[in-house]
Amino acid sequence: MRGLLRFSIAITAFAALLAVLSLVGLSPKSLMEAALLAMTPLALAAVGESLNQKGGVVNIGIDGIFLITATVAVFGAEEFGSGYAGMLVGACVGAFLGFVHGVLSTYARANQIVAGIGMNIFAYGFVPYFLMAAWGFPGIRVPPSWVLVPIRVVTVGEVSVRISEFSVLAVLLAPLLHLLLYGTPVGLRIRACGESPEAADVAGVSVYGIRIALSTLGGALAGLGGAFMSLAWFGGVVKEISAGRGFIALACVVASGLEPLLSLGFAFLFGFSEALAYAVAVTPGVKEVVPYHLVLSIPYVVTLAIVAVFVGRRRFPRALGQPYVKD
Amino acid sequence: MRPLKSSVVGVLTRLVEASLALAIGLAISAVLIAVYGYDPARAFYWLFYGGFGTWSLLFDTLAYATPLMLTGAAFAVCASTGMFNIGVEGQAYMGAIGAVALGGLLASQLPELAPAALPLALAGSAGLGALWALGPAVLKVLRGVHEVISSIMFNWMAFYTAMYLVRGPLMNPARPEMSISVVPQARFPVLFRGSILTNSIYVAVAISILAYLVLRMTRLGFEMRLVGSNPDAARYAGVSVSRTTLVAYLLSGAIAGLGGGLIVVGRPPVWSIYGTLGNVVNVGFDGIGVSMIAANNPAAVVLSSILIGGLWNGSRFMEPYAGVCSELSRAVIGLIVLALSVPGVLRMLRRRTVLELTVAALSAFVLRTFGVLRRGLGRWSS
Amino acid sequence: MSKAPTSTILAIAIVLIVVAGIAGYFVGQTAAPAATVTVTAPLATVTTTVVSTVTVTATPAPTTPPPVAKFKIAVVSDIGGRGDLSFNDMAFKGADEAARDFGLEVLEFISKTEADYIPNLRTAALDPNIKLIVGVGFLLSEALVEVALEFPNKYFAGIDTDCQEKIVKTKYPDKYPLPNLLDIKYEEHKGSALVGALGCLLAIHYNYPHIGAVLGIEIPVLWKFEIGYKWGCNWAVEWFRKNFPAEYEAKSRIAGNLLATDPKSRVLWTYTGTFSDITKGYLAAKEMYAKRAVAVYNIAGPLGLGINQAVEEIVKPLGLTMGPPFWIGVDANQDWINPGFVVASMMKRVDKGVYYATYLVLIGKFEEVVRKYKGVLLLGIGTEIEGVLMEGISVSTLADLDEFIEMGVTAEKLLGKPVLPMPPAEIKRRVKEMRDSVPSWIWAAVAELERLIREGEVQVPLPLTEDDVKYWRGILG
Repeated sequence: MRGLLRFSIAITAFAALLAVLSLVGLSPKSLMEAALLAMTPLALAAVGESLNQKGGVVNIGIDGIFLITATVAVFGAEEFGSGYAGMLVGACVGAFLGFVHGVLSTYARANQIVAGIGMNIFAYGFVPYFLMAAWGFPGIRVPPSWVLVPIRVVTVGEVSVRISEFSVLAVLLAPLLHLLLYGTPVGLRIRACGESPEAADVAGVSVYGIRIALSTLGGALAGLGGAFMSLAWFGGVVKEISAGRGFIALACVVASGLEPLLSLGFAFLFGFSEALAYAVAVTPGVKEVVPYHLVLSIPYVVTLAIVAVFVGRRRFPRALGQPYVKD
Repeated sequence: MRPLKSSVVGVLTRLVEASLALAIGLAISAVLIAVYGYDPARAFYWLFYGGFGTWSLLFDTLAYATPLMLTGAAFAVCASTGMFNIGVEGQAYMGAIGAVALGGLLASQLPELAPAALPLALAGSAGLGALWALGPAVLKVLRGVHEVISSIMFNWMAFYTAMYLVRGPLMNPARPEMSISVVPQARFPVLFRGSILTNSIYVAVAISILAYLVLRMTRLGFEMRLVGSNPDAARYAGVSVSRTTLVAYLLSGAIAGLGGGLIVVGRPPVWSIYGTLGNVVNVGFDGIGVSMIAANNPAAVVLSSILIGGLWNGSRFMEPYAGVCSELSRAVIGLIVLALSVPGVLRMLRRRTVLELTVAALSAFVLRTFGVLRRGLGRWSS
Repeated sequence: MSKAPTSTILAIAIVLIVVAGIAGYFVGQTAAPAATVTVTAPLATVTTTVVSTVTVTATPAPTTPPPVAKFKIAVVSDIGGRGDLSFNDMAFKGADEAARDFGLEVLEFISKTEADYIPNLRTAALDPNIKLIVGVGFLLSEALVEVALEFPNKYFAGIDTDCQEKIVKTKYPDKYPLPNLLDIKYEEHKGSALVGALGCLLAIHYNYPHIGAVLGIEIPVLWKFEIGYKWGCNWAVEWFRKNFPAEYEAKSRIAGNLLATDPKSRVLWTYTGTFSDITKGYLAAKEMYAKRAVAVYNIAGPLGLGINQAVEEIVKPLGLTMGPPFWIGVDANQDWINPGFVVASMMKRVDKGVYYATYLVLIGKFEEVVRKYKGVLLLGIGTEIEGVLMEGISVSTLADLDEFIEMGVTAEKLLGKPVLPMPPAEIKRRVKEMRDSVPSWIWAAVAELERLIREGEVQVPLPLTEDDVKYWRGILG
């Protein structure tokens, strides 16, 4: 009940904010569209990663997965001549990378943080190399527009809104995974793997199996997010396309205390404040008063402030980040 | 005797592990290079020639390694206390700002301070770096905000703040594209003509080793490591976890700040910060990789930073002379870190574990995928 | 830590074997440096190709044939390097053309960080076959001076750099101007004024309240773009008032026309703090179009991709084949990226600068030109260097398009993959259709402004200091 109350308070506050913004001449519709687009890759990755962490594996290499899949998805889309095929390629490659991370963190007992950082660094080097090697042109690839994933226009009465089906998918996935986590025996097992792998093992749960599966799922969702960035959002890929968004997704996960629903909320919050920052920055007369550098750091300040003021201490699974060693 | 022997064996093991990881990284990269039709031998020849081939190139490598040493040591200090200070990046920006503010702006405003400009600049960078680390540390201690979230946000805030300062109060009026330069007294002299290496490397090595000694030899260091390995035990032993956390974070921030500061006072030719922040960007993130390769040991960071610096410096040669995109060196570094994430890479060689089978299966899969890609590439080129 | 010593020894042995194997492989390879293409360009070819590439009003009369046998040029890029579809790529285009025309070889040194500048320049200078080293981007200024002093027998050219006037003159006054160093600068403010006027008149014509500009990192070069663009908008409003007084009155009363907008709010602009994160270009442009900007000027290299995406999402559902809304390209001719929606590009011919520097080295006149022009070539509208018309700045025309489509076609042949968004003929048809749909009086106004600038009858403000910028922002918004 308390959750519902908080949720309705948040929604009311947000609606009030939108009303205020439209009073000062900003378009809430355009802001919402931009926020939904910016939210989608963050939310996909964050929802997957929160499940992954519930099972006890931290994947800090999301940024690397974003980068690699954003690039490979364009490659796949051009190869198969379809944007959706590209999205699938992105998800598959993401799943593969997540699988590798899962194997490293279970059977190989790797330090998960180190492995994740390694993944990131690898991606920062691999992507420029791949761009050069695959397309002979450094740093950028603009695929022909027919292989892109179109963004739908939904008309409700007078208003038509631009929205991507993947944004809808991200929004739907969060409650689904929430239900999976808290309403099914599988969810219980997942949480057991994160809290007490020994007990789970004794109870006959395959800790490694579940962890690898979750890591693969998390990787696939992050891969979908990466592919979304290049194929649906921008219609092209540059070597720094992720621009640290993987870390922002990670921050959403940690800030939400590994709850899929809340991490969706944080992803939206970040996407919205980023859109808002630019809406404010281009408004005439603002730059004379506030240096635009400060305006552009709005998303980071807002996220930090919300975490610091409203969220604070989180309880994390006891075995989070610990390799489980079978005796 | 015993600790000495075990630490020597430990260091040797780590060295071997690192070389093995390097070999793994190079081998996989060689596959990547060959798949796309370049010549791996030629690429690696120029990579290593560029990093270590001549004396002046070796000195350049050391120059690249200098700031990485400090950001690496900074990360290592925090990691020993069980925290993931991803904020070294932002702390390094602020350190560079501190060096310019005290060694440039202040020292040029008050000429009587000019003789002491170098210590001032270093103090400024350490101080501002520590100050920037204070934010995440306090949030963690008081509100329990995970340091990863706050550090990521603080990094971006540091980016925009530093950019604002370089474009605003610290701007060089004659060269608006950069900040004012530190006064000549605050610049480390260049060690050798024909190289960008300056005396600043001594500072970096000294601080790294000092950090190691503090961690290993002092009570504070013991407490830090205890908090890192087992906070509950630390609490029972009467160690204040929050105080130790705070101290470790501040120490880490100060060292990272120095790393940023050394870029300003220890690297020709501009002795200032570019308006794009281009000369300080990424120094912190690269430091994280350096520290990981060194198993978060500040003394070993000295060596691993030289390895990374060498790869970094040598990669400049791959593009013009081997046609291979120079950023591939980053992929090599990433693979090294990945390989080192697995404990006891050495032991794997002797044991037939499930892992080995998995790795074998994975590599077969990878190779097959690349085979497909290659055939695809062959199709287009024909 | 009781590790079995045997495992350590075994491991060391394995590593040694691996290392020895790798080393042996290298020794066997005797990796030779890159092969050198040695073609001595005959004098006649040099002259004719120059005629075809650089518009020549008086034939240059080189007296000696190019003396170099083995000759390479090195291009040291700014960070980011190739792939921005604008500034850096234009420099490489110039180098590639020079290489093709004169039979040279181009070596690319990509700077990954600013720390790479000096080592890269030095590495290039140490290569005995490299005669000319081109540094691309003003951030290389200090590094160029240092290395040029170290290697007096190599030639250095800097694009956008301020070596001679700002560094050599103050730091080494006795050596000013350094004979082997040439700054090549551009009058971006003039070109930006032209596209500012174009955008403004489009807004007046199509009844839009704003024009927009998305800028990268706030650096002095971008001030020239920003202020020039805003100034051009103001000039166009005045021009319209003078030439069409009746329409001016009528349009001023239409809410939502630029003429009814507060003069300081006509141009929506923001710096994004990046030259690489295209998302920021998208977000900024999206807001500008949401506020009904008729055209957004891309002053941030690859961020144009984000701007293009913001346009696409408006026009695609509507099924438009041409703007408004538009965007305005930068540095290169970017009209082909999305034909019909890039109204024009402010072309900064970095390629011509690089080409010309190579040519000067080839004919042995580099030092002479450095002496004569105090080491700085300022290429702009109507610039003449050594009797050769060297226009470095222009607004793209339909004729310019061919050259860039040709590049795309070559790349497509090389890659076997589509580079251009549609067949060349289709691109040309769409661009022409779009240009014809824009009323001719707008093009005439832009042409008139160009003439006035060329003849020196109007002065576009050139902001060089922070105070200049503040002053002009105070006036223009």
